[in-house]
Order: sequence, then structure tokens, then C-alpha cells
Amino acid sequence: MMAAALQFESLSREYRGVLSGRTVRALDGLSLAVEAGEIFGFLGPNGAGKTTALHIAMGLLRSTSGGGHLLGKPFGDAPTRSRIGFLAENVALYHRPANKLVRFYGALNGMRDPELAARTREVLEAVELSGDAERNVGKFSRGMLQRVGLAQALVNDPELLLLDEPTSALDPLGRIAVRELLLRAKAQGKTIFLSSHLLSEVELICDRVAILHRGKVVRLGNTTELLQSPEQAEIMARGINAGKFGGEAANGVVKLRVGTSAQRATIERVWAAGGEIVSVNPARRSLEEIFVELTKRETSDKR
Amino acid sequence: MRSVILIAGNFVREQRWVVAAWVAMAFGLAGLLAGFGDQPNAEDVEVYVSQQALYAVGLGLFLAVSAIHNERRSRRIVAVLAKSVSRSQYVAGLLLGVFACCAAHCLSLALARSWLAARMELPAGNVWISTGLVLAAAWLAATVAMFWSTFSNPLGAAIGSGALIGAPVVAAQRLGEQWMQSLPVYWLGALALAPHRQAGWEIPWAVLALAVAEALAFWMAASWIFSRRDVTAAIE
Repeated sequence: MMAAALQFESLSREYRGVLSGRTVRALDGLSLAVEAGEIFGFLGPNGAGKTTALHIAMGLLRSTSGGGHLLGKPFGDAPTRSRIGFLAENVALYHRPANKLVRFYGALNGMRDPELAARTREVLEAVELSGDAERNVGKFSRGMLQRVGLAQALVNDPELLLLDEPTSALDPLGRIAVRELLLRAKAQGKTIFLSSHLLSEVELICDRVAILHRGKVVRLGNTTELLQSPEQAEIMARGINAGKFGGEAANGVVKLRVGTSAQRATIERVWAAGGEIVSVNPARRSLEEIFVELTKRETSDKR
Repeated sequence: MRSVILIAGNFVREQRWVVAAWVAMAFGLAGLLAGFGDQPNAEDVEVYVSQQALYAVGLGLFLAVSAIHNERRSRRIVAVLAKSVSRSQYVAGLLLGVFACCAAHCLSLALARSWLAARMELPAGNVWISTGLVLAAAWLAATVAMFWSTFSNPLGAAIGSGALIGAPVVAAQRLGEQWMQSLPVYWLGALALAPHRQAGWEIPWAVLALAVAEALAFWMAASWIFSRRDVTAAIE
């Protein structure tokens, strides 16, 4: 078994208000292991603790208790960060020409010419900014800034990428480009830890996902397995009245979602009504449905 | 070391307009002094030098108290500290950047003073050494300010730095003159401006060595504290 590229071990973090004295628990015993070579989706509503977890992993914040490892080294180890690419949410960069800026961040990771010059060109091309390489990033749009942010995260050819909302400011074409870029990185054996609100993106590229709520992991698993609903079946039928069966009709086919215990009875009812069964499959839910269901359930449980 | 130089270079670049204003002020005021009458007035030049020395220390303090705060507030610190840069390297880079900014101002001051001396047909004397002492005082003041800024906001850091730098003056009045050299920002500045610098004057190597040792101690303390501080608040 390969060693975990990123591991959180019973990580907790509390914020205490200076004036109010009120304590907010952002992370509550978070334990998670991201295996080398996978794309891991880290999901959760606002305030779930995703950014806090990422910042602790990068050594920008300290934990109240617990800890973890990045590429086998404890959080906060500076030399290890030369093997990591990090993109923060709402990226803030110095106002310099894009190519000089990416070079600056690469040099901070110990890179030197000619490798640095070649990588700078390569990553600016990968994020489709070659034509704007000489322009000052102070004049860039938010989407362009996010792409420069990605370029600085990729310049050192990292083994592990930690990305906090990498596509939030991008247009659909930009998102597709980033998605392809991440899949290419995965094919090269890199590990990607992706925190995102864009559930459809996560659903498309992540091998595993964890859903965080109020600092705790409420669901963790393989994306494909998570999206399948073993207790529900999806029956596609033809030649029946959708309203009578409580299904949805589209292009002459009626989609029925029933519990597995009622599957056989439903098929017989379709046949009895003179209909024809097109297919029977385990029902598949979207990540959004799971996300909403879990976060609502957790919120109502807390009450 | 390369990271330190890169951070310092970037800091100077970010502060280039402030530095340019200080340099322009040093040359501009010297130009005004030289421009009126046949020869610059000796008393005016003395006031000008004292004022510029004070501004050099002020520049070091001003840049150092706000350096970390500004980087954190703008969140630009995140991308830098997400690289292979330790907290002590980061603080050292900022301090080196502050030193370079003060050095640029002191260099312009030394050049302006040499020019004024030539206009007054006086020997340049110890202008360069005297300006070096001003730079040493400015840098020591900056390390004190950087130390305070690791755990305090700019206002608190400025007050704390002022109190610490002023403490030897108070101590000297109550406990004896030798206390003036305990944290020699004021002492070095006063020595650089003293009239006796023209004749039989020697560089105070022992006090300079003490200033360097103290600057290193403040840098190490600042690094130690800063490595135990959060650099980002929760964005969420």
C-alpha cells in the first residue's frame, strides 16, 4: 500500500473572539488520508472548515490539537513545501508581469534557470496565458488572476497539489481547461487535493470525496460508490402513463425511481399496463443531492 | 539565502515609491540649500543633516512596523509562505529589504552631504562613516520594530519600538551615561551628528558590534515568535 500523500490526524482548531471571548470550533477531530496518485474532493458548506484545514496543512495556521503529515513530513516543514503546489481561495499576488511573478514563486521554491525559465513558459501556456505573459497581473480579471495562481502552484512541478476553489472565477471554457489540466497531472502520478463548491466538477474528476460539516467528516468514500444508491432502482419504461406511475417522461420513455423492495412489483405493474421495460439500474444520485441531504441532516441533528 | 534575497528584492520593489520620495527629499533639500546664496549656510546644513538622519531612522521604523501587517492584510503572504520559505527566512528577507531601502536613502544623504561640503569648500571629513552610523541606527531601529510587529499591530509596534529605543536615554539620565549604549539607536545617531566627528574621531567598533549582536537577537526573537503565529485568519 502506498503512503498517504496528505494525512490529517485528529485535527482540531478553535477560533476565539478577542473581544467577545466566544469560541468557534472550525475543525473537530478531522482525520483523513489522501492516497498518492488520487484526486480527492474536499467538500462542505461555507464555514465547514475546509480552508482552515488546508491552511493548517500548509503551515499558515496552527492547530489547537492534533496534526498531520504532508508527503511524510509534519505540517509546517518548509523544505517539503518545495514539492507542493498550493492555490489559495481568492488568490492575492504581487502586481508584476505574469511571467516575472511565476518566476519569482518558482525561485522561492529553489528553482533555477534554465529549468525555471522553461517551466514558467510551460505553465503559462498550460493555463492559456502565454499571450499575456508580459502584462502586469494588476490589470488582470479575476479569472486571469486565478489562472496565474494556478501557474504559480504548478511551476515547481509538484508531487502534491492543494487547490482551494481553483475554478470558482473561471468561465465554462476555463473550467474545462483546468479539469483537463488536473486529469493530465493525475496521469503523471500527481496527487490532487481539491476543495470546491462546484460539485459537478468534483463529480467528474475526483476518485474519492469527503464531505465536511462543522469541522467533521460526515461522508467519505469512493465517488462512484457514493453516487450510487443501493436502496433505490431506476426503471426506464415505455408505453405507460407517467402520471399514473409517478414517473418522469422524456422522449417517450418514463423514468421511475422506486425502492429495491418494490422493484419487482413495479416491473409487473408496467407489464400489466401493457408497457415495456427498457432498462433497470441502481439509481444514481448527484453529488449535489447527497451534499444537500447530508448537510441538512447534520444541521437538523444539531438542533 | 536566495529566498531571503528574493523576498528583500521584492520588498524594495513594493516600496520603490516611498524610497524614491525619501531619496528625492534628500537631494531636493540639499539642492535648495545649495541654491540660495553663494555658499550654503553651515547652520542650515547642520539642521538638514540632523533632519535627514532622523528621517532615515523614521523610514526604517515606518517600513518595519507595517511590513508583516501589510503582507497579511493583502493576503500576499499566503503565496510566499506556501513556498519553501521558513518564517525566519521571511523575516530576514523583510529586514534585508528595509535595510536596502534605508541604505538607498543614506547613500543619497551621503552624496548630498559630500556635494554640500564641496560647495562650502570644506573637507568631506567623515561624511561616509557618519552616514554609515546613521544607517546602523536605522537598521537597529528597524529590527526592534520588526520584533514588535510580529505580535502587535503597526500602532502598537510603533509605540513599543519607540519605548524600547527611548529607554536607554531615560536609563542614562537616571543610572549613568554608559546606559546610553545599551540599545544604541539614539547613541549612534547622536554620534553621527556630533560636531567632534571632524577631528581625532574613531569608529566605535565595540558599540557597532553590540548593535549588530542586538539586531541578530531581535531578528531571532522575531522569527521565533512569528513561527508560532497564524498568518491567515479564517477566510470562511
